[in-house]
Amino acid sequence: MKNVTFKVEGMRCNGCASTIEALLQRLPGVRRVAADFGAGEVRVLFEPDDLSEDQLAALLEKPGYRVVNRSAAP
Amino acid sequence: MTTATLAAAARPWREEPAQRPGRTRIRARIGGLHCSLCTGTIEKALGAKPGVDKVAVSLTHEQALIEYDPKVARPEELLQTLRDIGYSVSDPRKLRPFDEEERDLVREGRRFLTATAFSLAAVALIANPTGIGALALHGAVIASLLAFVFLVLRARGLAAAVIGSALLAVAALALLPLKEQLWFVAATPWLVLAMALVLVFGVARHILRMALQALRRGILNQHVLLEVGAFAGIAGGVIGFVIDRPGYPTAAFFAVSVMVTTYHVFSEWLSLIVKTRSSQAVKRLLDLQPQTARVVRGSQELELPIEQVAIGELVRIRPGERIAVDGQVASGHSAVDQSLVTGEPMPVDKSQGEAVIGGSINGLGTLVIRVSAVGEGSFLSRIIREVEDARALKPGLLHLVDRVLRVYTPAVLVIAALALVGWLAGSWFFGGTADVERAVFAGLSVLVMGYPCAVGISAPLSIVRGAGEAAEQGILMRTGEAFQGYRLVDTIVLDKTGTLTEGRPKVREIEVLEGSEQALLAVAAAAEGASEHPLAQAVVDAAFERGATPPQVGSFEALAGKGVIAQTAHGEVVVGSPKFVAERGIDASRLAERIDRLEAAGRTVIAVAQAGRALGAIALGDALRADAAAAVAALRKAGLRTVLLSGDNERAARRIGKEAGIDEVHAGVLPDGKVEIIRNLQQTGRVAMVGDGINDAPSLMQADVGIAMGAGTDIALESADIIILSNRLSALPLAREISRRSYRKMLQNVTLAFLFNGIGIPAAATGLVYPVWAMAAMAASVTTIFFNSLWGRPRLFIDAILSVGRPLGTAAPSAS
Repeated sequence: MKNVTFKVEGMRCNGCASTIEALLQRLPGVRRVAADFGAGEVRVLFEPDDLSEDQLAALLEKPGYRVVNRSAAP
Repeated sequence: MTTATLAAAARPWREEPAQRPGRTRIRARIGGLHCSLCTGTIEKALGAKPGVDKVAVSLTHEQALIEYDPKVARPEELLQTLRDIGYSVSDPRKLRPFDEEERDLVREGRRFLTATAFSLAAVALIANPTGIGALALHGAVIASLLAFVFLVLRARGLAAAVIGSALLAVAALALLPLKEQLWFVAATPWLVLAMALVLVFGVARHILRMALQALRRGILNQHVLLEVGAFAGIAGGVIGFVIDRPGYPTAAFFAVSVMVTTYHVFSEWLSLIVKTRSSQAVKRLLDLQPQTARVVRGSQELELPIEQVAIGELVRIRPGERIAVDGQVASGHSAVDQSLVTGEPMPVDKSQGEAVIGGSINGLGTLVIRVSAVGEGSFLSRIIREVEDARALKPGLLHLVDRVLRVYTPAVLVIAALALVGWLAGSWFFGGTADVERAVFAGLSVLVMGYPCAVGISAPLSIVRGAGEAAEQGILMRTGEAFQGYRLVDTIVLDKTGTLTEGRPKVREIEVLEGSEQALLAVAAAAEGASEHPLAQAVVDAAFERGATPPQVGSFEALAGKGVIAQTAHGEVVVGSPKFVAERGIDASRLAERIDRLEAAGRTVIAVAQAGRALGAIALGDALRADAAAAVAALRKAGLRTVLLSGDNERAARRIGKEAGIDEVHAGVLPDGKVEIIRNLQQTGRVAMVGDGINDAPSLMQADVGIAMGAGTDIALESADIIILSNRLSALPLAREISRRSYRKMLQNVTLAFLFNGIGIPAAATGLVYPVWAMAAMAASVTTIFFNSLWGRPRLFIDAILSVGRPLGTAAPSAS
């Protein structure tokens, strides 16, 4: 499994955060999602066999959020 | 449950198994319960019948439960007794539909508008605005009536309210110059008499009927008191016609009749608003979807209503679905969450041949179930029956107003009689002849003055205020018990699973032999990642929360009820029950002692091994809600004894009880055992019960005050007096505070309502007070109570009116 934290711009409230969580949660291969509006971060635990970091970033940007940075936990 | 049979249609009661052998128990719905005094009357009347052992009547739910010896008494006869004293009897299985409540409300509103129009006309007709005082008095009365009209019409929109009340005001003012005409003066008393008669016998006919029924049962309630006042007014006026003396307040007597009836109709409308609002608020919470099951018949799969499913049929349950029927697993396996049914917080693995209970929630596997019980025999039906038993056996609460009236009404009658006799005897003793006219006048004035108009609105208005304040805190207070009973409670019983605790497993402790906690969680989560078991999901949750990254897993194998084996770059990972790990030939003896300790504390423990070496163990358990300890401390500080009830095992229950700071713990309690414990506690005091599950419903109903968590099951919500929508335990002490405050308001209101009449009655007994002053007392007390109840928060009242009268379903016009 892989643990990636995306720095995201464009979340305006906790509502946006839950939207993102719901959006990513239903993807096959995504195990857990936590979006934090305060920190502007989205943390995802996923199976790299099923989908890639780039795919996740693209999915985040589709509804209008901007991924400005990403970092994978060891 | 819609298991009504055809045979039942002919019999307006329902037969149930009695508690003692050789006895029959029936339940009937009773119409015509007007006040809390009625329950005592019914219990007395039926209890006196030969062969009857036990009678229990619930005012809130309008039901009676009768246990009798079928060799001595017959049900038809018993229910006829009820009809004889003026109650109606109907089948308890029929629910009052939504639109019927709405219709009642509209009808009551219409009655009130008619009555108010009459009152305005009557006041305008008898107005004699010669002095400042009289002008102010009539002005105040008219203003208060117009305010009522505004409120009743407000539900139909602001425009309707403004136009309607303005029209009535203009009409009333138009009468003022008209009645100065000479021909009109003579007709005035006749006109007011006609209005009084139409109102008392026509518009408010239902009140007259209720008063007569109450009288027949020997109850002196507010309806009786009203009719006494109204008839005294009419009699006073008629006497005016007979003696025909200038200056005698003939028209004013009739007008007082009109006024008291109007106020009474208003208070009836207000009580109805309060009642309808709370019942609709609960209906909105319930899942009104009919329950269905997916039945497998041959190669077909049909979605059928539960009632059409037969014993022995196969039903498919999809992942995450609520299991609709009781049965045995025919194929498939899944971890089933039974917490709402049995109070067991850990999901139980179910595979072929094992029993499942309707109402539990399926985990992530698909199950096919062979139905073993339906309808009356099912677990849920048994619980519903227990709820109904508890409903009738719930201790009654004599409402504050009824308590006062029990003393007040006879007192008024006695004072009226004393005034009459006193004047007759006094005038005869001092003057030689009895002053009959003065004596009758004094007696009638006392009766007219005796009706405390504001008493009918004092309780509903304080409830409107209290319910409004509670709603702002996410608390739904729905019954009289919530307001008048909760403050009296001295013991509060809390259900464990889902109420005091989260109701789902969470990682609580981690024991590490090698490496860090983080690493251990990562390895465990890697293996459990693909497993659907709730315990596995809890491990992945914990790993994610702590930022641990599980390594890649190659192949993966899950053994139901035991654990998982996964291949990783660092060797084979085995995660599962300590026994399973030991079976795999891994030496975990260094962990054994720690695992024993954790299991003794009520935890579920899984061991983790990698490449043949034990890494450590993870303990999972149901966690206390974050605010549980603080809420329990607040309740104890308020002087309540706290009791924990749980269907779960002793160890787990004691541990949670200790963590939360609970005084007394009852563990391993079966659903019907819960009710028994509540009943025992009720021997010594008043008891509140907090719960959310199906198994809690009977005890919620039995307790003096039942409190359900908003996320609870439908049946728990329906059985509760208070519903905590926010699911926060801190609402428990808060609701109690609101209950105390509302009761204080109610007490103030009732005192105010009786105060004005209390001053008026001795004055009236002197025979020197004109009936106009009775109207002054009414207007003053009603206005004061409105101010006292809604001071600073008039919005609560408007919201209450606006919140009802809008049907939920398709009948509602889609305005938005």
